[in-house]
Formats: sequence, C-alpha cells, structure tokens
Amino acid sequence: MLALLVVLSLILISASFGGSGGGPLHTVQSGFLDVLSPVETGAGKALTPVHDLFNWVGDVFHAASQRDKFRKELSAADKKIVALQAQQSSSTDAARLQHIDTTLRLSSAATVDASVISQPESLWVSHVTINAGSGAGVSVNDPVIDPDGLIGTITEVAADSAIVTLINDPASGVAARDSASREIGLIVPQPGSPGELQLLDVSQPGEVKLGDLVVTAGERATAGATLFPANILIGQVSAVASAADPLGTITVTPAADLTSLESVQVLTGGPGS
Amino acid sequence: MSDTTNVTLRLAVLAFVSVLVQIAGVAQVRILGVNADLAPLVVAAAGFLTGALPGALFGFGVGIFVDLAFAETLGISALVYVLVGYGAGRVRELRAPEAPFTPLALGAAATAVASVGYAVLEFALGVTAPVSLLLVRDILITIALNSLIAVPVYSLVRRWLIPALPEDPRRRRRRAYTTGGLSPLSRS
Repeated sequence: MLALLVVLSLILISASFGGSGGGPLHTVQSGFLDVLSPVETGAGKALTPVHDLFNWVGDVFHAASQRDKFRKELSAADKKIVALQAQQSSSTDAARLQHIDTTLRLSSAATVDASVISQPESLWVSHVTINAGSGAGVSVNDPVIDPDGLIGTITEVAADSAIVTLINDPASGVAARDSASREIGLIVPQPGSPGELQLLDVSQPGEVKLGDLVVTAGERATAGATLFPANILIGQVSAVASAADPLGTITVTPAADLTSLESVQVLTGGPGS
Repeated sequence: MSDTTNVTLRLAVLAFVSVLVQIAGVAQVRILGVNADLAPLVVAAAGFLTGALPGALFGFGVGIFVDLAFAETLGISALVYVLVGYGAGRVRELRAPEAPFTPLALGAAATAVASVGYAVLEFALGVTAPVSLLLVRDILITIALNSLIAVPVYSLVRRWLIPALPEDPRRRRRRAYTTGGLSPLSRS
C-alpha cells in the first residue's frame, strides 16, 4: 500500500510537472482554487486584526534591529566626521602658521611645529604642555605662537615635551607696540581678569585707539627676558585709558584663545632662543 | 456505522478542516517571516494515533489537498506527507513512546522531514532557488513554530479521533486500575 501511494504520488508529480498548462490536472487545480479563494479572501479579511497584530510585533523587532544598525552607522559616520574635521583644522592651522612664518621671514629650520597635549586646567592656570622638547631643538625662552598670534614662552624643557608659560601668566611681560600709533609699552596680565591683558608704560596713552592691533616690539621687556621677534600679533585694544585714570590703563584682548590651544609653533631659531 | 468507516470519515473531515484552517488562518499570520504549518503536525498526529498505513493514506489525502489549495506541483506534498504519516505510525508501532514530550518531538520531527523533503523534491525537479542560509533559517523557524503548537494540535487531533478508534488495551488497563474494577489492589 505504501509503495502504491508513493508510486501514485510520483505519477502525479510527473503528470503535473511535465503536463501543459491546460491539462486535466491543472483544470482540477484551478477549479479547486476557484472554490477555495472566496474562503481564503473572507478569512483574510476576518483575520486582518490578528494579522496586523503579528505584523506589528514583527515590525517592532525589525525596527529595533534597524535602529541598532543605524546607530552603529551613525557612530561610524560621526567618527569619520571628527577625523575629517580634525584633519581640516590641522591643515588650516598649519597654513596659517606658515603664513606667519613667511610674514616674519622665519626659515622652516628655525621653527618647530607642536601640538598642545595638556590644556590649562582652570582659568587661573596659565601654562600648557606641548609635545616637542629638547630632542626637537626646543629651548627655554623660545617664543611660542599659534595661528592667531603670540601665546607665550617656553619655561621648562624635557626631552619630548616642554611647558609653555602663556602671556597671561602673572610672571609674563612682553615688550609690545601699538601697530597704529607705534607707541611702545609692556603687555602684562590684567589683574582679576585672566582672559585680558594690559598694555602698561605707554608714554602717550591717548594715542592708542580702540581696536588698534598690538604686536611684539622686538625688544626685551627686562634684562634676561625673552626677545620676541617683532610684529607678532598679540591682540587688539578693547578698552582705552580714560581721562580719570592716572595710570592710563589700556586693555588688550589676546588674539589667541589661550584657553583652547591646539597647534602651536616654537620659534627656535629666533633672537629669543 | 463500522469503526473503519467512522475513522475514515473523521480522517477525511480532519484533512479538509486542517487544510482549510491552514489556508484561512495560519497561512495569514507570518511570524519572523514564516508561517506555522499545520499539515505535518496533523498528519503525524493522525499517523501516530491510527497506525502506519492509515497514516500514509491520510498523509496522501492531506498532501493532495495542500497541493491543490496552494497550486503547487501536484504530488509533491502528497509524497512527503505519505512518508510523514507512515513514519509516525511506525514509530508508534515499533516504540510506543508515552513520554509527555512525545507530541512535541513528533511534531518537530514531522515538520523537519516535511520541510527538508519538500525542499529536496523541489530541487530535484529543477527549482533554481539558491540553497542559502535564508532557506535553512526559514526551515528552522518553521520547526520551532510548529514545535510550539505541536502539543495542542496533537491534543485536538487525538480528541477528534479517539472516539472512533478501537480502544487501546493499555488505556483500558489503566482505566480499570483507576476505577477499581480490575485492580489487583482492590482485591486485597
């Protein structure tokens, strides 16, 4: 009996598979479908809520897996964007430093490019660490600039790193000149305001105007102090001396953002080294 | 009406209803991209309860129904379910398993045989679908889904067929013990 059923099945398969589309088996099959299709349609409509419920459950799982996938893709894209932005920023900084070097007529052999590896930890800390040291030719008293202007002086040197004391440090003093009036003075930190500088000892404070650019004078501020090359931008005059101020205090906003330094350049071959 | 006629009628009704439920209900609900498949469960349960040859005949009938209803190549499902029904009946005749998980294992095995057998026959007939992990995944999910519903399906089939089946001597003996009539304990 089993063999008979198997043989019968095989005959049916052969007949159905090899037969033309209009054979008797296909006629039977299509007739059966004609009978069943209304039942199927009706049942499909009746079971639509159940169907939707299961689909909803499936969609939830599908959406969850898609969400995880897209999160990973987003994370990867973010990393790429960060890397590209860092690359772009680095290129921009390098180009601006190159421009400063050209302006100051500094040879590439007299400069060391470096990155800041330790930022000031608070508003009242005024030194940073860079990733270039004596191994790269960096020495104490070397001036340090960033793409925006002067930032400070090397005060300690190790083999592969160095500490830069920023121009807003209380111990700092830079001989400066108002680029418009050619008045000379001394740039020191503004007491009580670490983000600002003061231009002191100006012989004619009234000549200094709001918005004037302040640059290095190319002179030593005191004996033994760093000799900065002339005409490096320090900042811009943000407040001038009032008539009532006997000291003639002039406030200067640093050109460089001293709280967020990235790429810097040490002027190793300059007169200050 | 004789027992044989009664069983035949019940099997015919069971085949028709199960295929109808499959078409109208179960096939409409997809879980994880596949449907549960009542046919192998019902064929295996019927074969297990009625024996190898009735199981094979029932499988043939259900297979023809399925092939007609789903417009498949006529005979493929029939051949597969003949083997499933016969195999389930032979398991009962040779091993007579009574473990509680027997319906579940029977359903899983029947689904596996039916799914793999169907795929093999389709490939033998030249269907050019690639053998992919997707196919394996679908077969495994179908087996898992069918395993979940195997026990209730077996219970329903058993409840439908039992009144028409000749009484199982082991069942009769167990009932006698519980009612006290023939229990050796009742004599002591």
